[in-house]
Amino acid sequence: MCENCGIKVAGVEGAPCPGCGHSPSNSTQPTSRFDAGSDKSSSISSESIESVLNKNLFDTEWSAGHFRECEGLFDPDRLQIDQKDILEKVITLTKEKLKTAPNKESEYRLYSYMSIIFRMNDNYKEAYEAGLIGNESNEKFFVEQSQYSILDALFNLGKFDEFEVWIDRASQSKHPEANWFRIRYLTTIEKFEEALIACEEYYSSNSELLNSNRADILVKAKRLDEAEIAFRKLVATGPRNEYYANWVNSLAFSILMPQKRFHEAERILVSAICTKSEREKINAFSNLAMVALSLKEFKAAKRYAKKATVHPENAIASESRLTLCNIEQQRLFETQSTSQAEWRDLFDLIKDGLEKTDFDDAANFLELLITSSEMAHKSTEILVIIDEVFAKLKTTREWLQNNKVRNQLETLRIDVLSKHYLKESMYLELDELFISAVSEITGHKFLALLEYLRTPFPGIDLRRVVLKTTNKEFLAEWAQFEEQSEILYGLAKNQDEPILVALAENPASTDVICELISKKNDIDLDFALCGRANLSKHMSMILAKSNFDAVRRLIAMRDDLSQETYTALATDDAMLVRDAIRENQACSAEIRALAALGSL
Amino acid sequence: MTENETKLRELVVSDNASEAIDAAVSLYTAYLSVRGELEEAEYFLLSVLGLQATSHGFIVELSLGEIYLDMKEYPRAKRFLEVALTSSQESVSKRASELLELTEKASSEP
Repeated sequence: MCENCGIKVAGVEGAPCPGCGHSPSNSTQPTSRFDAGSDKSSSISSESIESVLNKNLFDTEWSAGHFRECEGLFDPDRLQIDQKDILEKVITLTKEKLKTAPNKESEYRLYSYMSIIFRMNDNYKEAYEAGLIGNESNEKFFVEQSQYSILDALFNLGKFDEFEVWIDRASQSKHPEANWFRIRYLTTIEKFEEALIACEEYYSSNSELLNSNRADILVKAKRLDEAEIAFRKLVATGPRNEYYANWVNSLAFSILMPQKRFHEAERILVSAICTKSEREKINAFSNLAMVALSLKEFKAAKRYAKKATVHPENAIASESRLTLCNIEQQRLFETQSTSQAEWRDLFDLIKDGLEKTDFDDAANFLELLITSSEMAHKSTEILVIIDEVFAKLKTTREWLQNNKVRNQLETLRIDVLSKHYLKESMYLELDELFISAVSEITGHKFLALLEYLRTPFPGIDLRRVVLKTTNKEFLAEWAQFEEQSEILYGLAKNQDEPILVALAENPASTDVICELISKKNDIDLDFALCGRANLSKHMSMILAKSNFDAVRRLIAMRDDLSQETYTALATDDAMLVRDAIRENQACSAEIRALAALGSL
Repeated sequence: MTENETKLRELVVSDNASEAIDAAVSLYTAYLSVRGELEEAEYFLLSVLGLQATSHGFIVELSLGEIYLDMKEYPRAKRFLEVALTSSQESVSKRASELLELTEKASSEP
């Protein structure tokens, strides 16, 4: 399956996706006729250079020379994904070159070129900005190339309003990839019917591509029965079809395995191993490993997972090593007589995997390592390993770019370290750890931090920083037990009801805070305030004037109010409030009589 | 490695499906099973399984079933042998039946 657009890619190793041109050998970035450094004849290198040379409107050699220089930097023997260093170099060179641009048109063309380099380097904001300038070019190729970058950047940045404007613009100018972007977009925003119609139109001349893309949209639409029919039609073409293994893998992975039809999945997956595509063969083995694992056939699962552990592309090898570790861990957990030695072996296996990990898998490896360290009694060793691994990972470019994995890693590190610091009563270190954690990952619910905040040890500086967290669940739980008035006041500034309810119920909340909450004019909050055991006279008076009858009734039922409050409630407009006073034994006979009189 | 084995290994990856299947089965029976290299045999056989036409009569499944029986992976052996049992070639289905019986017996042993 193409990682760029989600459709099926060619079975021939390295062949680009028939839909978007994304090369399967490049696991993260789309390649198309607008990709640099490609060894394909239709790449930017040849087309753009040709395009430049065919024009005499400006200094052709200036641009063409630069493109040649840049394209010459790419190593045809290296996978594109491993050429990020070259992309960086090309960006630097192009920026330098731009300083000597002889005229505007030359500048536009270089910006257009740079937009695709940025895009391939995951720098979507820069790709968009460069694309906007490149779009001013007079030459159709550079305009289309810039628009491709703009569309791809906006799509990846999730700026869909602007994306829609640009896709209309691209459609009007008959951009060849406009409809492909439209299908991708409609699928993402879950307008599946429209995506299917667009797909029918776009791939009308190729029934295989049509069915393949249809099947993929249907999977995303969770219309699995229809998707299965589409895949079955494709698979019926037989193993000699170059896309056969792709379809089999999709059918097994997206439909049969989630439906626990493991035997069917196995039957069809083994027929795909004969594919000439090394990648799809490995995918098939990987799927077979998961099927075997689901069937609790651990030996077979390990055998299949091992197939790709030495794959030259580390993303694939790393994932296989991870699967292998997962299989072994599950096996050990499910075996009653697992020995310490087996856990230690697994610990070493995971440690080895973590050392060689692809960044995407790092958090999963670390999580496995933490679990196995507990079972292998290696909790002390894990601290050293974490330090080493983080020192290494922080030097990678993914550390800055892949927020999701980085946050997962940080969260795991914090969990391990906080447990250790708490056990060793290292409170200063604990405060520092959490201050840095909350500052970096503002939206996470740190359970260890919640536990720590329940103790008297966290300092005020830490509490102040924690106020900045954006995780509402965390704040609501904290508001239940926090005792320091400054912090409670800070929490009361939130608008979310669960946080304010928790504060209203917290016995440590002062009148100032309770009054602030009552001003929200919210029935649930007033109810929560009414339930306080230590409701002050001042707050009773305020709640006795609540806009909600049911709240005033609750107050009228209390036995700790002042005579003044009881009197006010005895003449309340609402009968249910007066009735509550009439039945309240804490009130004097006169007040109860007054309430009864009003009720008459 | 004998010249014949080398030749068979080359044929397994050839474009001719029949030759590839025959080579994989021969490689397994004549060399790999003798040396107990069952994992490698499994890999070769899986690599040709998809190329099988009806005329091959599920010979690959039969061989794989036998390998899994030897590996003591009985449920897996059973699944592959049950496919081989449906072969139109009597020799294959008969052997599959015998192996299935052995699998049942072996899997019921404590």
